[in-house]
Order: sequence, then C-alpha cells, then structure tokens
Amino acid sequence: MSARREIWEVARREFVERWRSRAMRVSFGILLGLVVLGAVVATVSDKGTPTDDFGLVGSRAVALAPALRLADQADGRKARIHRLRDRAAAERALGDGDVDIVLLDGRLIVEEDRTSPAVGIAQRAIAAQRTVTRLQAAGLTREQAVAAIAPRPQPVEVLEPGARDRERDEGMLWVGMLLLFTALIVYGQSVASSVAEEKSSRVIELLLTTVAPRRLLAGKILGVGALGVAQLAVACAAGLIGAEIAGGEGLPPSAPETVALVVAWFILGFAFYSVAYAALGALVSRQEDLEATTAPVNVLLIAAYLGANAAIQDPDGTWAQIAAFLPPLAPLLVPTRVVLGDMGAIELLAAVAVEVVATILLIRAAAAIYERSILRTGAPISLRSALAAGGARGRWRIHVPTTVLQAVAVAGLVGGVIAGTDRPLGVVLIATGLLATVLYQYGRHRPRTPHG
Amino acid sequence: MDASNGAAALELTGLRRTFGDLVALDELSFSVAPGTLFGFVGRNGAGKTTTMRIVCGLLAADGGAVTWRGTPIDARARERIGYMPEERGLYPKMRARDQLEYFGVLHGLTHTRARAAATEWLERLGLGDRAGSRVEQLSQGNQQRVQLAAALVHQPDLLVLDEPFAGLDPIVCDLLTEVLREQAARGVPVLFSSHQLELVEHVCESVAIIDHGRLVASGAVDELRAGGPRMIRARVRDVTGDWTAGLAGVEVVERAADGVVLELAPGVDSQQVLDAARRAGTVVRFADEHPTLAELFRDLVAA
Repeated sequence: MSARREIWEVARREFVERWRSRAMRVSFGILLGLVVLGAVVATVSDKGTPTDDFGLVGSRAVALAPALRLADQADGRKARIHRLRDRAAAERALGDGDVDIVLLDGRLIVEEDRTSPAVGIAQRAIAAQRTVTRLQAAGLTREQAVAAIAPRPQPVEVLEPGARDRERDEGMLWVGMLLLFTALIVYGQSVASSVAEEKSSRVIELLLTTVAPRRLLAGKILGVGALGVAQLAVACAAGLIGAEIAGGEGLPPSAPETVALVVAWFILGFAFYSVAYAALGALVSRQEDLEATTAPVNVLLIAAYLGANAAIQDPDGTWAQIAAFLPPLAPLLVPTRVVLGDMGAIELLAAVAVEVVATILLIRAAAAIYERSILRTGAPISLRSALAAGGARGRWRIHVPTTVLQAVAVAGLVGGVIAGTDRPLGVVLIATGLLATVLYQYGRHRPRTPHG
Repeated sequence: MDASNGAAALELTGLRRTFGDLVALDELSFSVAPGTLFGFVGRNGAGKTTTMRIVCGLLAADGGAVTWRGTPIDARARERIGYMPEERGLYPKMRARDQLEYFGVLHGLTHTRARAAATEWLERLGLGDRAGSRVEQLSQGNQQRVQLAAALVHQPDLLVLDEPFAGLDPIVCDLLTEVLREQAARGVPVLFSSHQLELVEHVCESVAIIDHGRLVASGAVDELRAGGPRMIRARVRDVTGDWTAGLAGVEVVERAADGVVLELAPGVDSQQVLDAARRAGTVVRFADEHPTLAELFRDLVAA
C-alpha cells in the first residue's frame, strides 16, 4: 500500500475515533464555552453607558425624574427610574441592589456609599430643579428656565484616539491566546494519549507489521491536527458570532487578523508540539505514566502562554522580540507581536521559517524516539536511553536533506548580517545559521547505517 | 500459489539476533511448506517470539535471511501476513467491526471489502451480534475471537501466530483448530508456536524444536517420532516372573499396570522378543511404541 494511503487511513481512523470519544467532546464543549464567553465578555464588559438606578418615593420625588435624566445625560450617563411605594420598599430595593439611591421627601437615602456618582447626580438634579422653579417665579417660561441652565457640552480633544481600539484589540487577543493555548494542550495531549493507548493496549505490534512507524506517527498527527483545526475554526466562528450577537461596539478592527493568526499558528504550533507529545507518549507503557512524562512539554506551553500575556502588556519589549523567534514560545508570541507590536512581514516570515526548521529537526528526533520506544514495554523509558538504544537499528531514520540544511545555514548567516547584530532578528538568524551548520557537519561525518 | 511442488514457501536461513550479550537466535534455519500446519516449539526464551517478529518485520535480524516464495521478504509480502502477537492487542475503545475493517484496509483491502470480510469473520466466529460492541465490552473469550479475526480478515497468504492457543477455552480452541486446518487446506502455510505439545502433535504436520536460539530438530511430526530408538509396548497375561529377563539387547524403560515398554538395541529382532513373550504367557498386546512429541522434546531439550 502506498505511503500516502497508509497515512490517510491512519489519519482517518484517528479523526473519527477521537471525535467519537467522550473526553474529546467534553474538551471541545469547554473550548467552545470558553471562546463564546470570552468573546462576549471582551466586547461587552466595559462598553455601553454607565447607568444610575434611582428609586423615587412620593410625588415630589417623581417630579424630579426629568431633572435626573438631564443631569445624567450631561455626564454621559444614563438614568433608570424606579417608582417605589414607601420607605420599606425603598430599603428593600437598596438592600437588593436594585437601585443605587432613593429620593424620598426631599431626602436622599443610600445603602452605604455616600460618594457614589448617583449621589452627585441627584444633588445636582435637585439643585437644578430649584433654580428652574426660581427662574419661573422670576417670569421665565419653563422652557426658557430649562434652557438657561442646560449644560453646554464642550468638545473633548482625545490625545490617543487609537487607545480605545487598542484596548479592544488586547481583549480580543487575550481570548485568542487562551483559545490557542487550550487547543495546543488539548490536541497535543490527545496525540500523546493516542500513542500511549496503542502501546499500552499492545495493538501497536499488530499495526507495525503492515504500517511503517513513521507513517503511523504522521497519520496520527495529521488526523488529530485536522480535528483540531476543524474544531478551532468552529470555536472561532462561534466566538465571532457570539460577539456580534452580544452587540455593543462589536468586534475590534483587528478581529480578522487575530483569527487568521490564531488558526495559522495553531497549525505551526501543533506541528511543533504534537511531535514532542508523540515522542513522550511512546516512552510510557501505561496511560497512568503519561501525565508525569509529558509534564515538561505542558510546562513549556504554560510558559509560552504566560509569556504571551506579558507581551500583551509590552509587545515591543526586548524579551518579547526574542521570544517570538524561540520555537516553543513563538506560536503564542508572534500573533501578539503582530497584532499589538511592531512585528512586520519580514520578521513574521523569519519567525515562521525558524519554527518550520525547528519542527523538522524535532520531527527527526521525535521519530527516532518513537521508533525505538514504541515496542519496548515496562517502566517508562528515559529520553536518553530512547535516543541511545538502537532498537530499530536505524531502519526508519528520517534524513533531512543536506541541501535544506545548507540553504538554512547560508540564508541564516547572510540574513543575520544584513539585518544587523543590533537587532534581535539578526541575532536569531545568525544563531539559526550556526545551528544549521553544526547539524550539517554532524550529518556529514556520521556513517549511515545500512537499512535492515 | 506454488503449493503443487511442495517447495518451501517460507524459508529461514541462518538467522542471528543478539540483544546485548544475549544470543537470542543462533544460525536458525528451517522452512515451512505451503499448506502446512507448522508447529514451533521451544522453552520460554528459546527465541520463538524473536523469530516471529523478525519474519513480520518488527525486528531486524543481525544476520541471515528470510525468504518468501524464493525472494527476500519485503514490506509488500509482509502486508499479506496474518499475525497474532503473543501479547494480544486491540483498540479497547473501538468497535469490533470498525476495528477489523481498519486492519483489513491497512493490509490493502478497500473499505467495502474490508467491511464485508469483517462482518463475515465475526459471524463465522460466533460474534455476529456483537459486531457493534467496543472491544473492552467483550468477554475475554470473545476478545480472543476478534484477535483471531484480525489475523484473518485480509485473507492472508501466510499466518504467523505466536501462542495462538494460550488462554483459550476449549470451544474457541476447537474453533481455532478448525480455522487453521481450513487455512492450510487453502494452501496457506501456518507457522504457530505453542507450549501445548499434545496439541501441536495433534494439529501439526511438521514442527521445529528450538532451544537457546538453535534448531534442535525439525521435520514431519511422524518422522521425528519414528526417528527415535525402537520401542515396543507389550502386555503379557498369566505370566510368572519377569519374562524380559535374559533377553539380550532389551531394556525395560517403563513398567506400568498395563504392561512394559521395551527399548530394543539395534540388531535385535522384535519377533524373537515376541516369541519370548509367548513362551512366558498370553500376549494381549505387542506393538511399536513411538515417543510422544512431549517425550521427544524433553529428551532433546534437556540434553
């Protein structure tokens, strides 16, 4: 059977069986809930006009209602009027938090805070009402009197008009990073447990008689990855629709960019992390050992997530600039830097290139670990022994074409010099070039093992 | 299928494999003819599983060759093997029929054909009504049946079964014997290992006995049994004393209530022994005695 068909069949089973599993459906439900909630909170939270709730008892107080509305309006606030029957009802309403303040026989009653905005508004409304009454007594019509004291709003100059949008971009990105982080952990762990399941149930021995381990690994990652992308896309769509329905100011202008970056970096990040999870999953013989064995990768992902949160505050800091080129951190750092920071197209491409090269190298190591560990049962295998022991005798080793390494080395070194060593991009490019050179030399001097 | 000429279908030549300092296989050679039930016998750790894993491509040999129908075995040929590992393994959460379909597809069948074959085998093995159950929901015996179906679903050209009879209840045991005979009749060579020597003797036409990674004996079961020392089981009634005393070149190897087993030295005429018996009393039984496979195995491996 052709390699492509084998990989396709493995991926297909993985997709279908993962989707059927209850654990995956629960995770997806949680993911969906998180996104919709996050999107709604981000768009609704500090938008809309602040509101004061006034409780009015008696006809004198009710007569103040128009003045209260005007006073709130002048402050860019909104008044909600509640008519209450008596003092007892007023105290109940205050106690329940239904109203902020009660007006009763010319007196103001609050629950505890005498400095809340509602108190000031009410004071001003009462004062305005008295002024209007006096002006009317002096011979003005009511309309003239109201016009005389009506506030004339002065235009306000905003020094940073983009700041409001930026705040909303940050909110959006915060939700996006939470989603991306959760998805990488959930689907990465899913790959690990799928590998461990085949090993612990011993079905692996049956599979390997007809599927090469590398194809099995590739199919597994593609299958889970496809499910991840599909579910992530649904979650993003649900989030956008949720934010739209929640109304208010709607989505920030960066929304399409953020969604595209989240999905794209899920694919890149998943490729990177899933092979690491797969290799670690192959080290254990029992599902119970999985958590401890995959802990280092989980910690790395959590670090990336915390880093992204820090970068939301300071997207152009030196730390964030460097972290965007570190493959384990880049999936969560790059979208943050692109949306909020000054990361341009060239730097973005460079970060993608670094991630891709790192992933290729990681696949190489992970495939070797997977092949050597997958048939060894017993206590969890240490990484070192998995890399050292030639269980598979190099039969299924991945060869990165030396031309790729040469190209990366040259491009990294030349690009780094052009970018200049005073910029983080330049330093990272030169480091990548040097790493590729070392790997190329290492590959050249090591004798190839003949195929078994 | 070259079943007609009886030439070896599967041939192992000089297989070597070490694990660290341990020599697991030491120049192991034997061959399996088409349509033969071939028993593979040895103590724990003798190298049976290692050999089978090498045949299936799960392990690489350090030396030697495995040929299938005259050419070195490759991935294409291995796709046509039906394998049952010693450590049974199925996806616990996958439904029986889906699982068999998947294995069939991985062995090169289309989904339609694999699904049909899966349904057919489940029905044949008495699991027709459990096809939609997850494997973990099935009883041990039924899981064994699914495992057997997994080895057969793609209509393999070669069966390699590691301890297929271990842990089976008598009913599944009979079912397995029947299925294996059927497969052999179809021309498929069936290589299986077992500890149950009586069963091997009963089921197999040929065997290979290995010890410490080396071949100790191989060939047709009947020939191996006949190849030992000449033995006679005799029962003589109304006899006084030991009638065998004084017979030159005759040694009593076993005395039981129903008679004696004698080992005859080369050149001793069995008819003279019979005459001696008749002189001593009434001969009610006098027949060639062949060692059982178990006895043969103990002699060969204990040595």
